[in-house]
Amino acid sequence: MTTHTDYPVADYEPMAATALTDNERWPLLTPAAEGMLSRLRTHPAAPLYNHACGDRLTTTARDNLHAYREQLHQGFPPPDWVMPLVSRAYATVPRYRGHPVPRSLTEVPTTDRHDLLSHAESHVPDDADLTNLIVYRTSGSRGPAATVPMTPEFCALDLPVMQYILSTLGIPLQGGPTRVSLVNVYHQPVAYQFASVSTYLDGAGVVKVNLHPSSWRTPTDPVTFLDACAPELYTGNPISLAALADLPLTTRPTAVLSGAMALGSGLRNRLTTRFDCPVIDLYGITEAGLMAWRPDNGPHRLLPRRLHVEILSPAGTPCPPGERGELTVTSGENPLLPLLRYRTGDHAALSVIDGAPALIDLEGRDPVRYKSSEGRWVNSIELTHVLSPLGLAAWQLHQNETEAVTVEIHGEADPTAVESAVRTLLGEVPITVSHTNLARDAKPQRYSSTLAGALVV
Amino acid sequence: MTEVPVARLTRRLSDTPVDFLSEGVVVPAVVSDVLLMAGGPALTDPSPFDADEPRWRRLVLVTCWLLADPALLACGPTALSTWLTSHDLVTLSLLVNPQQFVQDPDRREELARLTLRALALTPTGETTEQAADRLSTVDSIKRHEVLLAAKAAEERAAAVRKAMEEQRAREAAARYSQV
Repeated sequence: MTTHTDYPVADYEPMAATALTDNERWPLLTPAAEGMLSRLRTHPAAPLYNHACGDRLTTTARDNLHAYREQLHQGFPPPDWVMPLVSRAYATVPRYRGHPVPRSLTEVPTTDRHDLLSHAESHVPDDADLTNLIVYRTSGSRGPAATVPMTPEFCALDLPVMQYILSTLGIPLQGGPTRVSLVNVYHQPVAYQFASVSTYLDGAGVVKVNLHPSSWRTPTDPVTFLDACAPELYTGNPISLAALADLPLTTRPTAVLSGAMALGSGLRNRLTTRFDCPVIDLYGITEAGLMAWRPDNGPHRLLPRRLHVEILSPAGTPCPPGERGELTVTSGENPLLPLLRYRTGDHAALSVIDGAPALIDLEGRDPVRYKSSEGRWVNSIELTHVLSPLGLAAWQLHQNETEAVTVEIHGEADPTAVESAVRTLLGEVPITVSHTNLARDAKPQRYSSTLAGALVV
Repeated sequence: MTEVPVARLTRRLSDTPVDFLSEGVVVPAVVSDVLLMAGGPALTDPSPFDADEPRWRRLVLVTCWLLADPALLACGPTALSTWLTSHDLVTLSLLVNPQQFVQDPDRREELARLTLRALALTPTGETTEQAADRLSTVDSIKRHEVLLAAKAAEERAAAVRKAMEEQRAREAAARYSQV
């Protein structure tokens, strides 16, 4: 495997982040599921796995997830859970405890990722069980990366939610220990890769792979392995799914689900044609999970979860229906991180379409990539990885038609360090770094480019 | 509601006879005397005041001296007995050296105000809210509770931070979509 000594992401040292036994990873592992896991791990064309990851689901958690799926089919729950959540948070969450309990949600002060970043522990309820706490880092593509505590059950909510979305399109998600249900595709110089099985899906295989050539033994292995998996679903982001579409796969999924960045209509059409299946655009944030989706280029439909969505103006006042503002979410579904009026940094208008709430003109994260002096395309997430440790409050990185790069930074960081970090990925392209005032509330788009081919659409 | 000047009570506490702070005093006998002065029967069961808690027994003696104020005696033997055997007095004796309730002005005020509250009396010239507010400025039990709560909050925050940094937490669980 190629090593990346110049890529300062220590977390990606192979197998360095594992801590559990397989019995702890899958408390409910059946012999059939174990067989699936073993086949995925020992497949001759398997990727160079560098991590191990289970679902950590107990019987109770699995049963809760099944009940959750049923609940989704009953439609939007009445909002009678909102004020009890507020009261509970004011009684048990350090950040709120001791303050007078608001009489309505609009009296609750808003929070954001900066708040979470600086004091994550003050957002965890005093009575929350820490035994099975897991953490995820947010991507850092909008504001600073934060560490988000959650339960394995909350982490697995994606499955009933995706199952619900697929069922509205008439697509079953079958699962079972003789099938690979899902392959989550990345395309970065380094990323975790692992084989897993899903208790919720009755032992079905789940694989996370990195399509980057350095992650495989031979150039033909990705196609051999993925065709052998023949997953029911591919999930990924526009950049990784575009790379997937370039592979000469002969198997077809029943659906492709794209997330993390905005999916352009051009790429959607390309993926639809290439895989001959529905392509779904997902919207969510690590802190709250999946929030909305769309099967086409229309509005994003809100998911019927216990999520209360508000659209706020920069001053924090609610926007009238149809007016764009910042998506702000209230949710108690993650017992380790109840969110009260959490500002996502993403913008949209809220409207009602066909009797259901939907997000209009959702401004997601543009799937921008950058060209290195060696002609390699570099995903913006890679730049986030090298810039995040520098402690910048915000930055804007732009590559122009001549491949010259300008970086505007907000914060105390040394411009020389910023330039060096960018050079580890982009090489000897011209780079100019300057300090600027990137107002926090403006939520500037971090990445932009006018270089041909930079925007994956 | 009967009003009693706090200053009179704190002065009385500062005048506590040395005998009330000595080791040799028979506590049940003093309690019995106070109950008799309040119009009640003598103490029939001395055992509660024989407990092996020297600080508490000394605080009971100081409180007995305070309760001999005529306005407090007027509350009757049941109220006085209830206060002398209350949990608050036990807690207070654990937090504060009983001698302080004689020697320290803030502690004298604390015992005077706590006793008035326990006997449902009001300090002269103060509303119930003002009395509660002034008591809170000298309330050792409340201050201790606040400190305990702050310590518990710090310990919990440290436990959460530690749980979030554990390798077990960082291995995490499989994710199925990208957000």
